Amino acid sequence: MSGANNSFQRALCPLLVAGQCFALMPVSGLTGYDASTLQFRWLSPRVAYTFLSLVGIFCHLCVCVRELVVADHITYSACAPPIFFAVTFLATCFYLRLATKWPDLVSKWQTVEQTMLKDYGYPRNFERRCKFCAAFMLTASTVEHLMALYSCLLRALPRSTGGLDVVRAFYTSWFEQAFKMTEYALWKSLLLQLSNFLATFTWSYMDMYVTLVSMALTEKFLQFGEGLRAVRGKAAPLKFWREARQLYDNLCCLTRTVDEHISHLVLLCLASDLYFICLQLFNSLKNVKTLYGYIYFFYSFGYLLFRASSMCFCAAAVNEVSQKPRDVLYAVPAGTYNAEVERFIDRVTTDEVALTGFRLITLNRRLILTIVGSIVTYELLLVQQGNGQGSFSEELEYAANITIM
Amino acid sequence: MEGAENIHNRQIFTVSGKDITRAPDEWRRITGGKHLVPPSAVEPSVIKLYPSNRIRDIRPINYSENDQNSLRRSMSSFMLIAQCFALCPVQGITSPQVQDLRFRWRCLRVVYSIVMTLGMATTFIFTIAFYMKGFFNFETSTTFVFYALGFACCVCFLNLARRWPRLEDLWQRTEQEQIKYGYPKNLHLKINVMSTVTLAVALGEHLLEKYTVISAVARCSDTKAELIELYYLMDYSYVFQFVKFSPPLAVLCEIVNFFASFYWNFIDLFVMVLSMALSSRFRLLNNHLRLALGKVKPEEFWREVREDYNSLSVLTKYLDSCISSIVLLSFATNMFYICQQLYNTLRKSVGTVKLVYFFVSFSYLLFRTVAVSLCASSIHEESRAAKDFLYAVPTQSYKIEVHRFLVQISTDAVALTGCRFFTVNRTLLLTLGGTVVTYVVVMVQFSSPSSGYATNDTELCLKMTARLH
Repeated sequence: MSGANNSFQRALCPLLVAGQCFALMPVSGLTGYDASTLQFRWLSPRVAYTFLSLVGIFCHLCVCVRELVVADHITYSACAPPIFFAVTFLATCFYLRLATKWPDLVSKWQTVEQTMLKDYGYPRNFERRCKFCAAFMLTASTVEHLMALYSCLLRALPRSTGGLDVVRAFYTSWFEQAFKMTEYALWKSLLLQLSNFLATFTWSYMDMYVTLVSMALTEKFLQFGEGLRAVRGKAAPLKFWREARQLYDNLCCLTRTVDEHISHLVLLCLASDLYFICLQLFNSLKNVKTLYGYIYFFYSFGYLLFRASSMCFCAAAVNEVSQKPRDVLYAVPAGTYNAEVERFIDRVTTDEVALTGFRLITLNRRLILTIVGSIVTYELLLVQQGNGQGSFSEELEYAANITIM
Repeated sequence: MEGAENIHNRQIFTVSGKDITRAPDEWRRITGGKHLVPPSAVEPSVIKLYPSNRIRDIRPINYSENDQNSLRRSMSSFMLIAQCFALCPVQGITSPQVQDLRFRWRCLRVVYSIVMTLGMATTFIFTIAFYMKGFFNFETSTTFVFYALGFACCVCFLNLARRWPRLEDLWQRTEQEQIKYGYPKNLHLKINVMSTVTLAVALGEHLLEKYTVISAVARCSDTKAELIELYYLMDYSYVFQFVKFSPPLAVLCEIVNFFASFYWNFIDLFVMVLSMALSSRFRLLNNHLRLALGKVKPEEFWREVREDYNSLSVLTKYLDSCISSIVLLSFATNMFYICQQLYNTLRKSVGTVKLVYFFVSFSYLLFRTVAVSLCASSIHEESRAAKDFLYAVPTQSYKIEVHRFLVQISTDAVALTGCRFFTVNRTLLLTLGGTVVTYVVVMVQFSSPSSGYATNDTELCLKMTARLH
């Protein structure tokens, strides 16, 4: 069917397949047109890959935590590597758990899509937008990782004796803390690099995933709103209002289902963005000396800000578009006001339809202002604290190793 | 939904749900005889309700405003002042006919606006370069914010200009639908007085600021030419660090600075004027309702009042979609400047002239912020005032229409927002105050003692004259 590529399953397929290359969402049958092709099995190569990735990230986490424990004092920047690996470890676990429920969620989504198919069709151009987002994220993350590798290489070159020894110097400088605990070996460093790359990708994948799922929900509400706006100020029969109300109910249920599945991911995403934005601002331009350092810092910080803001704005849009039917409902002419319209108004005005962060916070526009205020407050406090401390360049160098700086 | 085919094409309603397929004489009775073409001549197919927020009604009104308290007449001189400073370049701004308002990209006013925007952008880039050279600290960040505000203001008003004709059109339609309430009393006078007073004080403050800088510089220079050059080097150091001093450039800098100063004051004034105009319309509705307090009125009465309220709500939402970025700009910069001024005073001791300037400037800024908050939140306040009357409706009159009206008033948030991040109501003023106090306390507590500025006169003079040569 034409336009079926804009359905939820097909549109999100590129992003999910990209995630699978990095050991996230180990569900099989993603490229099908129907939810029945999706299948999750515990004994499959994808799940095994995920478990390997988990083990690798856990190793990194242990190394970082050990480093933190033996250090003299704990600073804000020194916490960054353990937090980074803890966040990505949790994210991979959450995606594994989400994968077990993914076929169920997509089939529920498909049911709602089928009811809307006759009158509304599929959202326009949604597939193109998803493809663009997935491609953009992949490119940007790879570029960022390569830039981090390059800056590490620049640091390693003075320590090497030339020739193939550069490889050894590069890895020992990058995974300095790991190679304090164990002997240097090429296969170990390759494994460490692989799990590091997986972790970096997961870190930026979370934001894009929440953005695209919110966009899919928003599109559904927008389609519904357009259909409703066509009768704005006109007299429509009871049957019309009953069907509209029921469809709105279905959309609200769908939002709640999606929220149940991804709310912990959303909270993790928000918290990690908040922490890393504060960290980047804190480190800002103090320790940057070279031109390449400037470029790397601005690129990495800009990409982080872009990801975080796109996630916040897209997730807040779900709440906004769910309130759009109000305008039409308030304008229903007096002669055609009936019990269905009244029920519809009650539902729209009293029910809060939004994505939440583990049901602790509701994602709406007001939250964005609160987050910005929190960042400014924490920044002020951090800067004052930082003024009283000595140099912390060592922690920052390790932080640079994991592409945060 | 196959129900869509059964939509009654016979009946015609406006976007706010008002039925207008009544008999012409009934319509005339309701509108008091001062209305447009009787709607019996209108074809149902003429109604087009577009998606995506375009509000278009039945047919264009060729109506010349006679009452000077209508929005078109009250705002014409106000917008003309704005256009002298390259804001909101709409053609036909002084005409009493809303149909004459037009925005076209290829016209002189738009070119003037774009030139000013580029000027602001250039100065903004200069300040960025200046701060990247290492002069950045909180005390001197005002210039940065000042020109960022100027640039953002130009862009926002250019955006607004594209939608201004449609906004005025919708406003006029609403005024016409609700002509039985009349026009707000003395709106014209209030707008003129408010703008005169605000702009006069703003000009005074700007001149006082220039005077403080000149008097500080005058102590160190001997000749008049030296004084002028020194003044420009001091005040516009972000430009003259990178470019050699020359009189034409100095004049340009002065002009851009003057315009930016105007913009800083104007956005607050603009928000205040529009809020006042809108809340006065709500007040007219409330006065009409107050007359019915405790009386038994037919359901027809309540239906009309509800539909009028809905029209005003639609108008508020459209106004909000036009000016919410300006509201956000206004509140954000006011908060920043208050924090900055408080921080500066609490840490440094200054000379007498500077102290006087500081008091004048700070109290004016505070007064302006409070005035904008109160004016803008008055829309929200006035829109809810009708609740009391609805709760007091006698039992015989309480029917479905009153209930519907009550539901709408209770659940519909009729207010301006700042880009939908926050709603402008009375609580916002308290939140702003709390935030300002928190930030100032945090910054003053933890900051290091001021070391930059030399308080000794001779040292200061030496520093300044060193820059001259």
